[in-house]
Amino acid sequence: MRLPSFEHLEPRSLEEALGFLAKHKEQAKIIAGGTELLVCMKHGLLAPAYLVNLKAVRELDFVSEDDGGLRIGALTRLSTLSETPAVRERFPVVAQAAEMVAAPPLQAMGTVAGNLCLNTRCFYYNQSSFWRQARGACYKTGGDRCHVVKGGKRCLATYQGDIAPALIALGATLRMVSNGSEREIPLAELYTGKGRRPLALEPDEIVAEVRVPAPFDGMAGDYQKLRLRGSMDFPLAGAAAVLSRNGSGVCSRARVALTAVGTGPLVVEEATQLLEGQQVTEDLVAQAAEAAYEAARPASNVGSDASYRRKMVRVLTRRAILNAWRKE
Amino acid sequence: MAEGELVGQRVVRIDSRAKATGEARYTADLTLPRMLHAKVLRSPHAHARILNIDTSKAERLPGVKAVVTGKDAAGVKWGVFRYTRDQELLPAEKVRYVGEDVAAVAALDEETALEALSLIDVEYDVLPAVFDPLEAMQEGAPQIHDHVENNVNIHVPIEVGDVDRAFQEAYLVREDRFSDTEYTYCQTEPYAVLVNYDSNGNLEIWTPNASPHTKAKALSNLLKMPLAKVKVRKISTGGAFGGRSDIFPGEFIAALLAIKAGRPVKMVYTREESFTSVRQAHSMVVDLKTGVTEDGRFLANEMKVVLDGGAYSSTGPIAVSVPFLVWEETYRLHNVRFNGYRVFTNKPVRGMYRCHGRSFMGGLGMQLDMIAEELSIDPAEIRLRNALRTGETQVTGSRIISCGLTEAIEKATETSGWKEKRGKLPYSRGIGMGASGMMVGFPMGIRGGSAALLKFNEDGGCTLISGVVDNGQGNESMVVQIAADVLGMKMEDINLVSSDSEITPLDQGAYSQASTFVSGNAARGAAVDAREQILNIASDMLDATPGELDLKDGQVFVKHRPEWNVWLGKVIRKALLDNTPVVGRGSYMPKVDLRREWVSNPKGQHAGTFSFGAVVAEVEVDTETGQVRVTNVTGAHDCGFAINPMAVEGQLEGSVASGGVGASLLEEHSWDGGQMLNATMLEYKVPLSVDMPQITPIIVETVDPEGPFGAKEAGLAGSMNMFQAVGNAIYDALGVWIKEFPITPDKVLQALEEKDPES
Repeated sequence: MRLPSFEHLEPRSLEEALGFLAKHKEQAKIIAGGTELLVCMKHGLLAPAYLVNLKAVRELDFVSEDDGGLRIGALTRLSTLSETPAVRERFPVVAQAAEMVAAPPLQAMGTVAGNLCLNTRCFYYNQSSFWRQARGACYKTGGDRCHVVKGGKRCLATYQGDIAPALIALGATLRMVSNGSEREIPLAELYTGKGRRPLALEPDEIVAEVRVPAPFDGMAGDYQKLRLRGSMDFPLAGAAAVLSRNGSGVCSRARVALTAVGTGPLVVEEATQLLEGQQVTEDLVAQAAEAAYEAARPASNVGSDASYRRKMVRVLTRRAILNAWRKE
Repeated sequence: MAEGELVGQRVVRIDSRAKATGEARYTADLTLPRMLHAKVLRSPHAHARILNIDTSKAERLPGVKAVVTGKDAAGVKWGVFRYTRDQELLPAEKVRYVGEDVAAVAALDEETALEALSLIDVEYDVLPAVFDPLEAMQEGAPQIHDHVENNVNIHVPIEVGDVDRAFQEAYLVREDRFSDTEYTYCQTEPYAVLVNYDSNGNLEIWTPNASPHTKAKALSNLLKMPLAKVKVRKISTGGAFGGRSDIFPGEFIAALLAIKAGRPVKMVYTREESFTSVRQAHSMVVDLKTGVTEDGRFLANEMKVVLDGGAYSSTGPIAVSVPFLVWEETYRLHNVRFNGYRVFTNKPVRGMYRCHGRSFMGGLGMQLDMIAEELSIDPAEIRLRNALRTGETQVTGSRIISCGLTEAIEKATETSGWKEKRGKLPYSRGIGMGASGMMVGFPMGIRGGSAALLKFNEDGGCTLISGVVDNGQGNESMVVQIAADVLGMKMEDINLVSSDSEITPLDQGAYSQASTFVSGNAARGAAVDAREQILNIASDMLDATPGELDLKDGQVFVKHRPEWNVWLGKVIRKALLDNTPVVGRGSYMPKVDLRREWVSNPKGQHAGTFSFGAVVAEVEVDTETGQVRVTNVTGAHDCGFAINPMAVEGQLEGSVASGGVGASLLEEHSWDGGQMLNATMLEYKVPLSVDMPQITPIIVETVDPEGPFGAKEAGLAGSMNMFQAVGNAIYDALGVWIKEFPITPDKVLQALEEKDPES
């Protein structure tokens, strides 16, 4: 498969990059690792006139400690992220999730922001132009129907990022910049759940960095991923849990986030309510896992049966919570 | 080294260096002056009549040099057999699957060719389609080929003995239904072809293939050109697994374009095209009824199998027969009834894969374990009781001249710790076995044999010219090792010229596990002939009889007085001056019954010899997710004699991976009607290195009386037995039988829930 033609822009600074985006808006796409974008372009899903390559914008490539928390530059490679001592030692769940993304060669290319900004995926979308022309356009490609659920009213393309649930459970925020302005949003708010525009990112905006707050006392996390092979695959379901235990053995903070079972990462609020302020027992964990099962909305569009994947949410959530609780 | 000293050694294959360094050239790497690039326009419909194709806009696009449609194909049809010629390689009137070839463009570059495709207007009349073979057989189902009622492409009936009476006499009768989905080969190298056509009417073709001679003959028929003008050249092939064996639209279309444009044409498929528009393996549904005696010996075996053949015949008659053949080549059967149906559907064409789904073995390998359990017999023991042995004759008449099945079962069980583990591992861990025999070659008429030539240079070096084909198995290295052994030479002193339909003699190709047995025998014959000529000439020079002489390290010498010797180069020079140049000639034709025919006469000697293997697999199941991990595989294979033990072990390990671990647990196609949802290497789950078990290969040697140095074949024990071994191991682990392959986690979980609804 061939890439469509495009103009390649190579800004030397964030400012220059933002200038290009402001100028070309929807006609431009940011490229960092390229592990997803180039595949989509070969499939004819995206045909940007300009690619703004951030590889020379070194100011976005950093991991630093800040007030006990972390600042992760958008251009940080996933392999760098999982190898950074501050991440490994203080936020091991992030390293754990990053090491489960695709396979090592792709972790060495793919960036943190690229993984967070992963487009939603679907068997009827991630296909060549030839493949897709055999049926009409779907919601995600600007059409009026869903091929997954005939008569479906909205796009069900699945969000399959690995590091987002872990970072969401840690309470991470994003610093997003555009020409002349900047804002900070909770990571969970990046995801719209909408097929055509799954990310709340303006065309002239760049995700500049991820901020992870300082760890709570007695905090530990775990990420569980369902995939058919031992590497390479996107999650068919994933659950991240981050729990804090106070001095008297009570769970003082609990966050559970899911991936690959909805159109964006899902935060399981009920799990927080069930676990916080309680002694964590097997029974309570089972209830939290049941809440995750209830929250999950997988569609049969990324491999494996949706009902099977939904059941697995229960298993993965239970394992993630118990592992996080026992790690501490 | 004396004869028999180099064979049996663990040697580095002659192709290893080029493959490891990237020096080996594949079709897509090739460039010729003035070469054009071609792309194919494919049908987006599973079943449709082509009403009109307008190529005028595409033809006017600058850079486009040729456009072809079904009109250029003159209506010729391809089929492996005279009675299965039903595939127009570029159809004029009707398309029968999504991805079928409709038109093609050759242009200065691929971008222009792709742009031209978008300018071709095709008017279709979309027809009702059918995707399930059982539905396709029903009255009123859409008829895919006008001449074929109920879409039954091939029916192979085989009956021997009195089956009904034998069932009545049986102590135990079991009936089960098993099924298996289709696979795609996923060779590392996608399909590619380069065609050069010159003004003298010579057509040269480079394409990954399992037999240049078969491709050349088919193209000479289809293009109505003399065979001598159609030259399929040697090229490295990046994996085959059966998927390079047939004739495909790609080479035919590229040839039409090259002839029309008068320029070389290269066409490289995308991975998606390699999935949908070359070949896939058959899916099948099997109804199996088996009657045994109280001590577990087969009395009556009945099988009905329905194969989804896709849109065209391809290797249909062979595919249908194979689920039967695999039983009779493994076990002592007496009364058998087989009805095999290959049914047309509006899906991509199905062909051979690792010997046609023999790995699945029609479920017999699992049903045998069920029977063993009911009779309280150990699964290894019930196999040993029924296993064929040397000197026995299979139920349709093939005599077995060497058989290591018993030894393979015994060694695999002993090495794997079977007795200590089977039925004794903790819940969720299990061990299972599989055993099978396999044909080494099959009747292919004039194409069933191989010949080789060996010519010497005046410096004592030589060139072996053999039709042998290597798709990665190590066949090229095998013939060189054999010739080097016979001639007392180093392997690096023999140059090999192979797999060129113009230059090398006819060879059966890398089909049906026959290369070592047939091509190896021919190479050995050529080397023996050359050696005799050399010793005869040297006997004058050394004043000794040829019988007193030996040849080693480039010297001919008197065996009892090695200091009486002469340099080989000198012997070659004398031969040239004497007008008796040394050219060795060898050939081999396997001793098969040439009257045997797949459909009309399925009896008589089917193959020259048979090889055998047994595999023990251990699994670990995550009972909450249903995920199965194969942790250990012990595979014992009767290869007759291991010419290069390292290559034999490599083949066994490869067959555990390809068609083994993946095919039994992970690989399947997802469909929406006739459209494949997962035609990508990301979503079609070929196992990765991290998914592979620890493999312990065991070589069993029976020294076949016909094979070169006693060798047979070395490719299939793993893939043929993994299904049974894994299915049986899962039963040992969990106490549930899962009869639908692949055994994906959701099926495991469902089986567990059905067994214990409380869980």
